[in-house]
Amino acid sequence: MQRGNIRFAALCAIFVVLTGIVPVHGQWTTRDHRWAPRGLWTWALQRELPQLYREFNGIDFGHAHLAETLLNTQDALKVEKARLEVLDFIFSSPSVPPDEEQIAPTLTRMVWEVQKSFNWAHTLHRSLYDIFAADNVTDKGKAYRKVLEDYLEKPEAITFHPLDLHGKLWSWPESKAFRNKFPKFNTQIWAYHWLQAAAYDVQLMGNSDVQRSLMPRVIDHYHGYLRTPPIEWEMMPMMMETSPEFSRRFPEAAAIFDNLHMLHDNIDDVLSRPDLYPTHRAKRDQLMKILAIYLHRNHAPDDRYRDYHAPAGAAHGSGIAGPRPPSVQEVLGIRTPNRHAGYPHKGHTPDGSHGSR
Amino acid sequence: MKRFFIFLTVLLTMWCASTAFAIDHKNLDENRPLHLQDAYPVSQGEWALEAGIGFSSHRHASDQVLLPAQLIYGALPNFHLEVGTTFFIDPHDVDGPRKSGDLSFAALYNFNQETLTMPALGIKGAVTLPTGVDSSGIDSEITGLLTKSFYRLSMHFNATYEFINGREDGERAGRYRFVLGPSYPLGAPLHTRTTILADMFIEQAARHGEEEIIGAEAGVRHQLTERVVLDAGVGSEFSGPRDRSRFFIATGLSFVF
Repeated sequence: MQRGNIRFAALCAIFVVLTGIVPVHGQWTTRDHRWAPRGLWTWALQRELPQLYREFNGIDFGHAHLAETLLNTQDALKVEKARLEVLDFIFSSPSVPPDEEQIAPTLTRMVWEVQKSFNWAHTLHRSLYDIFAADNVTDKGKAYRKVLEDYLEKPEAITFHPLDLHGKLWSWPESKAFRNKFPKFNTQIWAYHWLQAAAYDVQLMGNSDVQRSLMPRVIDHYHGYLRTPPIEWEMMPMMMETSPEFSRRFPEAAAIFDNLHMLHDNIDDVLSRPDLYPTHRAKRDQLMKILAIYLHRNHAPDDRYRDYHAPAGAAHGSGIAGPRPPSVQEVLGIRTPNRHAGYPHKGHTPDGSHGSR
Repeated sequence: MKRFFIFLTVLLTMWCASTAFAIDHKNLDENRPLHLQDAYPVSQGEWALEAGIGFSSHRHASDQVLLPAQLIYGALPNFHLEVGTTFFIDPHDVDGPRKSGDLSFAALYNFNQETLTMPALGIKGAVTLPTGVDSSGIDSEITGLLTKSFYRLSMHFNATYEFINGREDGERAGRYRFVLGPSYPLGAPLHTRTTILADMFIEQAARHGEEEIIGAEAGVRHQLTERVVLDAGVGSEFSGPRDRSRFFIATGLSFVF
């Protein structure tokens, strides 16, 4: 073996040792990156509602940048700086989804299992926006069921069982820490979730032309929340409050997204309490404990997580103190006789299609 | 050449007729634009087409223009399949076991996601059929892939052993290749569309008694749209046989659909 060869082999050996290829306490998890289910709808959102598509790209950055910031600091000024960076990013109207693994490298490697669940639930979000934006998909209900079935068969899928989000799942020792320490950033996050929910009911109001005509008003309303975060909200927006029509017709997805949004809050709370969870290991252990509840299948009345099941009516947002976010119908000036019950909308069929247009 | 353009036309037609999702632009595949690969496959269900053009200037041998192209499919979770070829403008002047138009089939499996303590590990196997000009024998190779990151800086290590059947007198029946290098997202966290990368490589020469090839290269990958990544790289083999490459450049595109 020649001298250069020996040097290179030595370098490789040092690299292998330094990288811990034979770790004693290594975490082992599979990557499981998945492409969105394909159909006539694929990529319709970007084509039909480019402004909304770009808003969602901004939101993707917001979650990741917040988490990585909280892992590094609890300093109020630095967290506020991160919030303003997120606003700049969102208002730059990004044309391409950002890479969350590069924005939040520590978080994604610390709890890849959680990130995997986020990625997959966000893929479901995007697929449904595509379905409702695609005029060539006439049977929305069939497409919905196909995408939902594909989603639920993966182990990282969040349950569609309504969970006790206001109670047990927000009663950990760290719960509400992020809301109380960083109220502006917290409600900025909730504003993202408000838009994600509100967009669905706008989409259900008609075809892509109708959606394009109505969506800018909803996005303007959302931008108002970004400029002046609604810190009077004390609990995250619920799908049934913001998007009652979607929640009534697609209750499984609505429950998944409520659970997803609460899981985001749970993570931000854990990351806001380094006194309770001072190490990456401690944070990971708590997050994995919480994640298991969201990933549990077939939540049955007598199973191990029965204490975490939602009480009746919880999905409607009833019983939550303080001002609540408006439904998208209220924002658009459409009368809502009973916002919590949802309402039938002219032109829609029970199976989720828009009917004749 | 004709076969190459037919292949490219078919793939481009498939791309244009399809719809897409966002490309994982930091996923490093061989020749796009460097030797360096990461330990990850494309997403399950993803199709990717990668094509480019390269130029290599050689000492004491004729220069070469090459046109690589490959199709990748995420067939299973953490597992992808590849089919590809490289065409040379002067196919009869190609030295070494890989000939112009040889068709390669490969499979990459990723064992795990990188965590704070554990590097990502992968393995890739490839078989090359003698479908090209002046080609003979079926060659194969196996590569171990490792990716370990230090915050946003990722280090990648590839160790390959190639089994050569279609060899001429004086050529080796097998040879190793090591590649080691970093990648970094330029401008992160606010900007995550550009990745810079570099590597050093060492490869046993094709013929017995010749010095190992040692070289270095650097490149960039930039996400142009949700579906398209542009790349470019430049490098040199600064030690090795007398006909080694003085410098080489490569540029190309990756599409997902």
